[in-house]
Amino acid sequence: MAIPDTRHSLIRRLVDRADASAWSEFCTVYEPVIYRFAKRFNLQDADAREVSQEVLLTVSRKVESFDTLANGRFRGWLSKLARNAAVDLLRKRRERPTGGSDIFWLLSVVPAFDLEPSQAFLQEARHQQFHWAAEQIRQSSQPMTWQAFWLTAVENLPATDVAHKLGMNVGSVYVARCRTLARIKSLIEPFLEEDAS
Amino acid sequence: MIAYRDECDSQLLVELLHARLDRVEEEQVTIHLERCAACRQELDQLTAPDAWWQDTQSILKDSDSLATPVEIAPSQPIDNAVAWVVNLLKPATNINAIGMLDHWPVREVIGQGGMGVVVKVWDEELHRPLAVKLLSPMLASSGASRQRFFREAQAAAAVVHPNIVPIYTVATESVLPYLVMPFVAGGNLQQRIDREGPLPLTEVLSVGVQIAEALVAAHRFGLVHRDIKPANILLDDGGHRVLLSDFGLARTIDDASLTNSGMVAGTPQYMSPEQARGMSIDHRSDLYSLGAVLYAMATGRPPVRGDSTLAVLRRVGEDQPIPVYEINETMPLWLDRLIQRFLEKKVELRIASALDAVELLRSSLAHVRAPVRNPLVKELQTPSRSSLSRRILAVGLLAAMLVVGYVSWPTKPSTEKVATVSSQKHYNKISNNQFTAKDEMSFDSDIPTRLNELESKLQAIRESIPK
Ligand SMILES: Nc1ncnc2c1ncn2[C@@H]1O[C@H](COP(=O)(O)OP(=O)(O)O)[C@@H](O)[C@H]1O
Ligand SMILES: [Mg+2]
Repeated sequence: MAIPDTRHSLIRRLVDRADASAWSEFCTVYEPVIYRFAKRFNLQDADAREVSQEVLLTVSRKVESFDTLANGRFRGWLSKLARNAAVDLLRKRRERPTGGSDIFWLLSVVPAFDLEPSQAFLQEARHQQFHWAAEQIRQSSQPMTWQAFWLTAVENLPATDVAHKLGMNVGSVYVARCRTLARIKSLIEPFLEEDAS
Repeated sequence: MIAYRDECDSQLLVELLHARLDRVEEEQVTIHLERCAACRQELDQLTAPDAWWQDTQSILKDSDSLATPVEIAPSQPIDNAVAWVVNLLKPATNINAIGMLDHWPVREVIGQGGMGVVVKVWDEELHRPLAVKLLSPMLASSGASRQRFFREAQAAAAVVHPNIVPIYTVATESVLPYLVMPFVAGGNLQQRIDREGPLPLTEVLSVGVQIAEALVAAHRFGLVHRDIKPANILLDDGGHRVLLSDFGLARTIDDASLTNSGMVAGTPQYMSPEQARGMSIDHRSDLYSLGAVLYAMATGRPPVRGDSTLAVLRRVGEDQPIPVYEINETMPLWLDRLIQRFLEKKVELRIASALDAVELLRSSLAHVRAPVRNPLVKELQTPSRSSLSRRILAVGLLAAMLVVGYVSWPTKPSTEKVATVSSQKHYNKISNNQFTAKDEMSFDSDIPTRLNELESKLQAIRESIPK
């Protein structure tokens, strides 16, 4: 079954320019993603920061021409942008060894130079989306609800133990645990486009 | 009396999940859940597929900050940004305070921006209020933001100037990094504009002079502020002195990452065209932003407006702002010429330095205060009457010559002229299109093509490796 998704796809909100908060939400989540992704290329802190700013700026300029309805490859596009920006910067920074071909050089400076970039990028993105969404929900959750969720879903303790510890009944622990994840999921879903089905 | 319901019902579970049951029903279904392991399992599945539960565990398990619940009832009308601050404070020892930050009693939350929250604290020893800027916890976890935060401290601490908010202390060891500054009592310029609309001409110029002075000092240190806007300009108690604050995005000129580093977060309404486009910028970008601030003070609104950040980013440097006097007819025509010196899109044509800006603004202010004694500088003057009439004469002569020329050269058909003009227009259109097409191409296909080449090279290498 599907959690009713009242929030539109974030990308579509960006494209429609329907609300300005879409942009800040997008930046909040993706700036650290791109930053950490760039760090995988052995870039220095300042360079990784530069990469993330550059990618966000490019997105801000190009997002409207990105055809979200035709395909759900937004994150693929994003990871390409990030990789391109990182590689460009690496290239700019390197003292060019004479002769060496680009690809050997890249393989030597970037241990994990992965020609299938989307995997690493998607991991970072998923990580950041989870942290961001969980923080939003934590901020607006009753302490008991949050703890019931955390202890059962994250720390994987048996619901009966948690119920006992928190002085709740098992049914309520389950309600808290599930409602909390449902809320987290509904915040993350706008970041996943059609390809998430 | 409602029937006791102790049976499995998926639909009820869905309603329960989305908190759509009334209290009695919710209680009943919860009691049923207590007894029925199958329904508990079903509720898990209705919530999210297994992968989500697994990710929840593997992704969140190492986060200590997320593990701790927020001890504030969500029913309290405190917004998120403020809630976390209050949450961080130790209980107050003083009835005037909402809590303690290290040894400081916090009086209130006074501001909130892109980097975090600013609170007012009381300095017990010196009996004065201070402003403490805390980096938001979400940003504090990112190395980049921390760096940016400390750079603000370094940048502002380096420049000592009456029109720049000084930084007293930087705390790096506390729960969250924070900066301590004097409390500036008059609020920020944006609030003043929102409250009162356009400012009087003398104030527009006087605020302009002070910010230009602050920029002279910052630029002398090789520091570009990059975020000059009314919300970052604070007003002294009497409202006469203004102080530039928030050096969070400032960079030194020789910082290697200066080129190519567009700032995205934040309001782009005051950004120079080169900054909005992510091109390399220098001190003249701040001068553009100062022009936008002058415009906002004179008219009550920024020169570029749009429905969203994206729209504004795109529009900066493309639209010609509406002339000041059309929005605020109490303003003289020359003010528009003055502001235009700052809002010049082409960097080379823009006013060249903060020092020049100080001079121009100062002499204009002197002129407003004593017009007879201090004539307006030449570059802002309207063409005088006598030179105007000379021009009319010149145009008349030219026209007469043309008529004579036309008469004595009747072979030139007038239709050809029209055709030339329209084809010229047509050409302009095409070349504009070509420009955008080329612009797109250089981004969308150039780099990916290069990467594809790399990819196929690597593929070839892989294939050449014997198995
Ligand atoms: N020293 C200060 N005294 C009084 N108010 C301040 C002070 N510093 C900041 N503020 C208020 O807090 C707001 C946000 O501060 P700012 O430094 O611009 O943070 P941000 O980088 O988050 O935008 C300002 O617009 C201003 O209203
Ligand atoms: Mg600010």
